[in-house]
Amino acid sequence: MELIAERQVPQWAPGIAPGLTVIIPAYNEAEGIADTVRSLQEQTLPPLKIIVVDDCSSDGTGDAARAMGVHVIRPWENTGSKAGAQNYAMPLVETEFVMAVDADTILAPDAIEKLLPSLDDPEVAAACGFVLPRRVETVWERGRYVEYMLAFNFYKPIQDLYGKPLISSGCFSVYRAEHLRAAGGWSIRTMAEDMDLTWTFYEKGLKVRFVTEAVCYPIEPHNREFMSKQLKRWSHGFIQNVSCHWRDVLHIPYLRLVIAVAFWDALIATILYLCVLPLLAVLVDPRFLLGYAIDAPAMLLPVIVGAGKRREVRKALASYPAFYVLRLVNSWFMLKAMWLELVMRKPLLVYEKGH
Amino acid sequence: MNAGLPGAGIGGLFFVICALLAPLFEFVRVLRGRSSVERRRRVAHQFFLAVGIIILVERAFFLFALLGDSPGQGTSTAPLGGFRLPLAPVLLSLGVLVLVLGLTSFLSLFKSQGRPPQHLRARPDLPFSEPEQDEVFQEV
Repeated sequence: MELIAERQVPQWAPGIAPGLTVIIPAYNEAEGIADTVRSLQEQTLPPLKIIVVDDCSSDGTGDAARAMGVHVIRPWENTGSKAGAQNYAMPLVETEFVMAVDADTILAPDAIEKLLPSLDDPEVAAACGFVLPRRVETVWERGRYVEYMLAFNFYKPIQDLYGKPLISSGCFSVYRAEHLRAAGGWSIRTMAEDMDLTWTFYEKGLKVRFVTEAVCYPIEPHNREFMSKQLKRWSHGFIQNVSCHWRDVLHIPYLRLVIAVAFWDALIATILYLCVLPLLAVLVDPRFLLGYAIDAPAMLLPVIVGAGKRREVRKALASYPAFYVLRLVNSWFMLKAMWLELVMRKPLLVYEKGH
Repeated sequence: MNAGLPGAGIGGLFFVICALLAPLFEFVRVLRGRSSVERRRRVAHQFFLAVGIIILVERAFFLFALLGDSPGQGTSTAPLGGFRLPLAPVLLSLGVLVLVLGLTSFLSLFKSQGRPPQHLRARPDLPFSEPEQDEVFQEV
């Protein structure tokens, strides 16, 4: 079988990222793949090559991508996961840097230009950017919008100041190809390949960066069904990664503390949310229900400050209650995942898309 | 993706403390010549966010107390020169946080042994470990 001939990537701008290949794993993404590719082609610093991995889609994703003039490859059978699709494209990567972008994600026009310089240091293996939902309409999208505003305005910049962002987000990250290959690519052993890869880099003594100014806009799950799939995958993925890495990350200062605190909250806060607070409200005092929102003032400030920079304060305020709905649902999935993974030893093995 | 439950539990407190301590660590970096204006700007931004969070929480509890509607009123709300924070939950959260961080740091003193669980052990057979492109790619 002859390998598809390399297509010429047009020179969209005078400057072009000379050493960057973008991999877009795509399964039934015909509706949005053109927007994603276009946002890459219209970058102030466009990549040298864009590879779309059409993971045996049945909706014409490959044709839609090909019409945009990018390189399209298709495995013989569905790879079963985003990681599998991304790995499939790696032999075609000949550049110094490789970027992973989800097929439902568009980038701000200067996202690559802002993100790439963080890899000037050869010890930096990966860098990720700021993530914001593209659509903020349903309660689920609104909840996610507030969650991201909080995480990317407060938690992640602090993690970066201490040199240990917890995750280089899978929807938009750039990697030094050499380190990515040495790490074995994107592992398919967990449901959260981005977390697995990030922690693997740290274990190898490499660095990961978070760049606030590099912004991307994914489409987040818009209804309960798709949000459930995503939360299930994320919660299982987190626990699988803790199970997999805890012995090694214990020796990495700061990262071990972030993971320990996240794990504690995932276990104890969920029990508190789902069991203790309702019981106390019924048996002792209904005002214990305030416990569900007792941290509202603490989280409001980073969200409002972040939204203010984007002139989205009204949207943030209107979305704020949805965050608590999402967190309550999230806590259920987290507790269930803990039970299944750690007690019942029934790991989640099937990768289901979030939309 | 996110890990855990953002905003819940001791995580929020942990990052507030990290932000408050960041200027100290940055000062050390300045002394070592490893700081930059950009980094100092980001440290200051996160530091003032953390300070703002504390003030906002304190004002919220102050408002609760004024309305006589604080769940912990009379037992856990302590005026500190006009600064009113519910001491019992704050101290409890701090205690739990110190316990979790202390236990984690204690565990790190020991050399880790053992392997990941069976189902997480195997690495995938990566197509690029031995690229044989004729076999790997389907013509499109």
